[in-house]
Amino acid sequence: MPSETPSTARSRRSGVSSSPARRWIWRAVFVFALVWIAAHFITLGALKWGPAVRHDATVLGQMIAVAAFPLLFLLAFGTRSPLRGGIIAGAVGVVALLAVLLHS
Amino acid sequence: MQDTLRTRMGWLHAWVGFAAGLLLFCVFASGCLAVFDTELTRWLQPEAPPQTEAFSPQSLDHVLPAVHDLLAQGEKPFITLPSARDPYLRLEHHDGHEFLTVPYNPQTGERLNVRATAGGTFFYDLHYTMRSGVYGETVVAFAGLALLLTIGSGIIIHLKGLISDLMLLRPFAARLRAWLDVHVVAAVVFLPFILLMAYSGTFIRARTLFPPVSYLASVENAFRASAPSTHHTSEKPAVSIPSIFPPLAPLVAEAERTIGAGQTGYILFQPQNILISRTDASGPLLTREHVDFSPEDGHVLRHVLLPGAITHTEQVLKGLHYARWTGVGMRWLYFISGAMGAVMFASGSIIFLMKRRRQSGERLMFRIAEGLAIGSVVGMPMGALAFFWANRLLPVALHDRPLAEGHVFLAVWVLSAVSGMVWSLLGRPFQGWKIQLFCLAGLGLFLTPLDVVTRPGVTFFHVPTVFAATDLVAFFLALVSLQMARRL
Repeated sequence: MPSETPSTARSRRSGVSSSPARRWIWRAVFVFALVWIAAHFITLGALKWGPAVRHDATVLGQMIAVAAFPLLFLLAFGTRSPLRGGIIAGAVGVVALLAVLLHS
Repeated sequence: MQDTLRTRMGWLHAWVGFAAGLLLFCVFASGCLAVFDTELTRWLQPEAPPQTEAFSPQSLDHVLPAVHDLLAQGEKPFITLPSARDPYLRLEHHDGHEFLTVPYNPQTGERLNVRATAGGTFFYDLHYTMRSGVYGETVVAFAGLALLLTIGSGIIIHLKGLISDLMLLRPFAARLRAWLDVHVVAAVVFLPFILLMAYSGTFIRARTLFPPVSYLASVENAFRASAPSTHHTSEKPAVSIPSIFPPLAPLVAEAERTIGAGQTGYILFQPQNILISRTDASGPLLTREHVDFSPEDGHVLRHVLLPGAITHTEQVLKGLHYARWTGVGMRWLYFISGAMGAVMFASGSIIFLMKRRRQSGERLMFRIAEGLAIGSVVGMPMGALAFFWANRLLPVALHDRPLAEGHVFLAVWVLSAVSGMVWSLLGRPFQGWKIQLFCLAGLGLFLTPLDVVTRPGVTFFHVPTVFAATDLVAFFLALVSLQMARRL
């Protein structure tokens, strides 16, 4: 028997009945924003924690960002709970931001 | 609809795939043509003799007056040295869209009298910018990210049947089933290639998506630049172009001592230096190693070769994506894989529409989507074939001929998109598909007669097979479009 997801249970309890597709649009937009920010900070951070040569650091950051973007998006969008997905993408973004700010 | 991983991924795959897929179809179709850009340029300049003499380095000096003229016009001309792939000496420059090329006799340096054309590099520019400069580049890079998402979600959906789907093609099954089989077989069999192209292509253009500067700083700079400046910065004095360049043969010999015998590929001319760089055909690493010479007296200025593991990784990714080092066999494999990538997007878009036709077929958005699909899936190949027709039919003496060829391509594409949209909005999309598919078939079928009639000195056993290969591919495309019209 298919189990009920927290989001559908919540919407049923609150009396709001929105189709999954409509909820998924907003979820995708939210995840996209978080993952984009994380990828941006990875590229910026690579200049700090990456190789000393700026060209190499930029290239390394972009390689990681392009690979991380789809993986992180699918991971965050694929979790059953939107909150959990947001936390995963947000956590990666925060770590990447800290690497930009704190790395000497 | 249940909220499960598979349904979520199915939704993502369908919508992101359809939205980006119409553009990615054009990217893959133009990409697989760009693999043969040099060969297509030979088809587009049929006056160039099929056989040429051996290369003599002294012939390079005969090209120098034309180089000087281009430099005076503010261009960055370069000479491409003859190779096994292309026997001519070519003087090239970028006109803002594609590399315009003029062939020279490699023995005497005499200019060959050929028609002006945008050449095969037209499709190269189309592939990564859609002829829209940096904005187009950004949109295509963005579509590359969407492709990676679509591939990931597609793998999750088909994970269980990934191996069994490899050989499951039922062309005579029910229509939706047959299209699904085409989509899955094209995607699964060519998955490694599509994944490699998606990652390397997006990475190559990553500077437009993920620049190594903060977005906030970029916005601040944009406002700062637009504000009126009170400082008057003195402009750098323009570097004058030397009136006479040194003889090029000794420079090439000197460069070969550093880069390796037979490894030089390009000679780039700039007012301040002459760069002789390694040929792209030398290996999978696209190093662009170069030796710089003074344009005044030809002494060596420096030797540039970027070291480091990360740079080498970048060069391998570029080398694998551009495939300029490969032989004819590998080039055909790239072409077929790229074509199958395009088939994957076309079939995916058709499945998307088929699945929603019953429920949403009357809605305006559905009709617009179908009109766009017709414009992309049929319109782009029609534009490409029209480009070849224009090359042979436009007057040879026409002013700005390369631009006119590009305009014909765009005009046919736009006409196809508008016509598809009109048929779709009128509620007769099948009419739109079929008319355009028959037009596409006609353009493809009659390209061979056109080639035979308009090619000077045509013989049945013409030595460069580029003519026969191009005509046969167009013929095959015509057959595919006829079959597609039958099975819609």
